[in-house]
Amino acid sequence: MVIDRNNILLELKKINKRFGDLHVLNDVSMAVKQGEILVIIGPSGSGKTTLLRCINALVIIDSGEIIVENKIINPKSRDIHNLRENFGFIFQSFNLFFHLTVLENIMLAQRIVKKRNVKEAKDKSFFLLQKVGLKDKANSYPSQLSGGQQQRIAIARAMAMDPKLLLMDEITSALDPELVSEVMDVVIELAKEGMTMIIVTHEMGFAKNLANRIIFMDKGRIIEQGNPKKIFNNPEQKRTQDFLNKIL
Amino acid sequence: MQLDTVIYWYDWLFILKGAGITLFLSLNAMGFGSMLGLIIGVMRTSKLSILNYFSWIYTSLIRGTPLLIQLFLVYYGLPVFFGINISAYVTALVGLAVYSSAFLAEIVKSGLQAVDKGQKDAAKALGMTYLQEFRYVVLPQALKVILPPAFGFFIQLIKDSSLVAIIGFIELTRSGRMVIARTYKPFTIYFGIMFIYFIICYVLSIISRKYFETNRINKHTNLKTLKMTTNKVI
Repeated sequence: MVIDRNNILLELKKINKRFGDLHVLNDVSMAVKQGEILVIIGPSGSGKTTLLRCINALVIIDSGEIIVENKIINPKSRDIHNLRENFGFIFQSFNLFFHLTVLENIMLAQRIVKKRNVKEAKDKSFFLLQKVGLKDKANSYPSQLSGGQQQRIAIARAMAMDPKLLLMDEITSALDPELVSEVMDVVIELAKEGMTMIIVTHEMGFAKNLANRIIFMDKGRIIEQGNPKKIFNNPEQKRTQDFLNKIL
Repeated sequence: MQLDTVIYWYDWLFILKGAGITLFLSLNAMGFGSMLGLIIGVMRTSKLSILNYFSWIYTSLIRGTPLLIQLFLVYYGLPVFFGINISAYVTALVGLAVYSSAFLAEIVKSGLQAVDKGQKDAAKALGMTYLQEFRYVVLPQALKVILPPAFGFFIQLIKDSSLVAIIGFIELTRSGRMVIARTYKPFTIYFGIMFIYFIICYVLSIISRKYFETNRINKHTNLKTLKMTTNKVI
């Protein structure tokens, strides 16, 4: 795989993570280019979610390097909260702040982390709410919203911080099937605008329609990667084929 | 010489003044106890074993021993160890504040642990520092779980504060005993004192029920009042 050194947003080199005796991530290396949409698939326990969480240091790696825009990141550094601003993370369980309204959810980090003034933060928040189609819910509380609506707000909240890269951890897995498409539409819109994304998912629609590249992981290792056509039609590895047979 | 054993109206006034002092003392003890309890409570959830262990010993000792003994320790112990003579008021305040802090620390700890881990993940992912995460996300949500039992403890504290009568501090119970000493009418006085304690605690429990009861109507107004730390920012 030819790598264009100038365009690489994120690179992971030989990432290792153990939880007790369990070797969850085993010498994982990969790179993501600016504007690329990378989809990670694989069975439960393959380490996909852990890998995502290692990128923005929600999980601290045991060994290996995380390189963002050609700068090595130390996950244990005291300034890690500064580095996390580069990444937007969307969780499977949304994790909206329950005690705040939708508007306050989107404004909070803008105010206290980005130090934007109230007007700037509000304008940005309403702009994003309009984009995800939930402007009328600005003063509602998360508990008053459906799962699909909450997830769209979560995306807006992450986008408000102008991240360089969006990390999405099975964002539709906790949703009722009929609510999945409204979230997918938002992601597709973001993709069209050139947002770089790493998406962990079981939703093969994401993989087939959105991905520039698919990575298949199993038992803590990357087994295979390539464009969707190759992975779905001509996988090289047997394990990939076995997994796809079960899913499709 | 005829002893005057009549209970005059100004005796009841004296006793009511004691009630005021009881409330004042309890509020102060609760205030200091809350601040200390918050710190100890956070220590109880710390990953650093030194902090965790120390705070565990603190809360276990204080919750596991009688308040009366603790008050004696403060009253007789402080002058001996630190060579300072302190008034009964300071003794009562220190004793009750430390006592409160241990119970409140455990309440704070459960409140903090009740906050969903995902909330903290989201705060971190958005780039918040630990302090920002605590102040704007964790603490407001933890308060929802902390305030009802903390208020309940306050009501208990008002009753427990009657023990400070024994170290000579003049509050509700002691003022009653002083009147009894002159009038030899323990039953009437004690009954009156009990009634006063009951009224105070009953009114507080009504307030507690009204305010902390969660139903669909006041659920969101409760959320609004818990956002005190975020209101100035957003």
